Amino acid sequence: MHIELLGVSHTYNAGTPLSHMALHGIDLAISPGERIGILGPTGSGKSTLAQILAGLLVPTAGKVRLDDVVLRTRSSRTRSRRRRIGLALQYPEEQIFEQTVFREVAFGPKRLRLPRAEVEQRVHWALNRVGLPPETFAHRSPFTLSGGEMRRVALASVLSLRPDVLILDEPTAGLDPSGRRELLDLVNELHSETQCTLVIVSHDLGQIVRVVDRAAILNAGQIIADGPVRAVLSDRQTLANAGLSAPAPVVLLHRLEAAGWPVQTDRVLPEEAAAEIYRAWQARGGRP
Amino acid sequence: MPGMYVPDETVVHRLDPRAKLAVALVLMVLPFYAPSVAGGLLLAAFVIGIALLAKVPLLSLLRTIYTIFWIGFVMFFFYAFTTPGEPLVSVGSISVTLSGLLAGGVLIYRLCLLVVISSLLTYTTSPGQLAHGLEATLSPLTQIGLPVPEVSMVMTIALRFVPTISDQVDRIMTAQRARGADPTGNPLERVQSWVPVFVPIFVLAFQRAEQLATAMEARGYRGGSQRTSLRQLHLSWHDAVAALVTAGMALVVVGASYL
Repeated sequence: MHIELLGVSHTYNAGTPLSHMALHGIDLAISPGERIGILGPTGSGKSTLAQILAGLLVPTAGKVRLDDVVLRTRSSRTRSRRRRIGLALQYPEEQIFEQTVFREVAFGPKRLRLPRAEVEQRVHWALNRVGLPPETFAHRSPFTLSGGEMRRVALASVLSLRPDVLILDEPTAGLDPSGRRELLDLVNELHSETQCTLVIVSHDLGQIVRVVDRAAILNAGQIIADGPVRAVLSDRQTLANAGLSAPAPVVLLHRLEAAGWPVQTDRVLPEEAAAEIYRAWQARGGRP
Repeated sequence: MPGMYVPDETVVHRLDPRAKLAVALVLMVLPFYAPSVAGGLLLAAFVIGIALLAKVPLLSLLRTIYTIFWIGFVMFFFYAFTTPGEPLVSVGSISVTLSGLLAGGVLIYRLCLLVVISSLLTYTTSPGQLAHGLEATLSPLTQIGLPVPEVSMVMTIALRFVPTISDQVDRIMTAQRARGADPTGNPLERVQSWVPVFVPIFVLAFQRAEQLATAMEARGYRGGSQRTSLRQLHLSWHDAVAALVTAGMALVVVGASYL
């Protein structure tokens, strides 16, 4: 699905003393199958943007176009488009309410009034997809699971809707490093299997490059950079303007470059940076 | 949310919470003692005057009145039809009477004033101040064995978590809508559509309560009257003026009904 935002602004509590402008004139186009990261500091409007992209929030100004349909609150065409977008909010495990994992994940497909066999098939697919084998997990209570497992259940309950567009708001928040890594691997596998559009909202700059190709930086409700993820993440100045610090490997490479080392600075992941430094070290004839 | 505290520096905002509680109590009782139209209008004007002084947008006051629209509507309807008197319009065996319309009107006037006065109080007084004021006002009751400091702490915590929980309700509703929950359909389906919202809210509320209890204990909280407060309440001449003006107002309104 093609998503397009034209001059989108959003003000919370408009017309009251508490009014607060979260987004300011956002233009953004996302093509089918694209993987994009929305990055920005706390309070930059990331979550608001995620909800607008998902069609759950109608912005106070501007247009949201999903394929050829302009979003409105109550039209049935809006609803049918919205169903093709899956959104997992921050800390999605908080939304869990059912007695068993199976019923939790089946909630969405059941609301779509799918036949029972299809629901079952989707639940099994989604649970396998997030690495929770249905044989062991389907009949357990979700509240007895660990935090990481609950997050996977919540993710499965979005995947079972088989969305064309998957929006994840801070999917790795509150997970330990290995949990973060596993979750991102899982997102990658999912994308290569379904070719869905992926929108990942995050402030974890170091890891995001593992899952997206494009990145947009949001600051104070405005997009201040948009482009290939490595180019965006190695632009220290723009990141600093948004109050973000560049990933540690990028900072190190910039310092080496300033010290006269022949290094490329757009190596964002630690292992890439290590390889780049080794290459430069050898190019210098192995001198420190 | 209508009646939610909005920080400001107006005279009304800066009054001592005890003075404000007393003034609000007097003003809320007065509508029931003001049978004369003049007294009633004077009282309404006085309340609107306070609202202007506190810089409350009149639109948001109207919004608070809207919250009781249906209760007011139904009660007005009942009064209009059930009060005996000269019939104006008859529908079958029941009829609308003039005295019924009047009684309904008075009732709505009282309801509106009650709502406006109480929301003025919460609009200009932070929940913490309010609880502090109540605790100070009720403290004599500890003499007869009421656990006033504990009750006040419970109230402070409850008030403190109203916005938090309302935010959570919003968030969970959005999350469930994202997975296809839609509050439409027949009444049974609509009631069922609240289950995915309330279960997570209860789970979160219990978790939060447990964390809060641990945090309070870790910081050495113990209930009881030995606790002192960071912010001491001080009555100033503003409070004296407010009390005097309100007392004068009460005398005039009550007096007007004996003229």
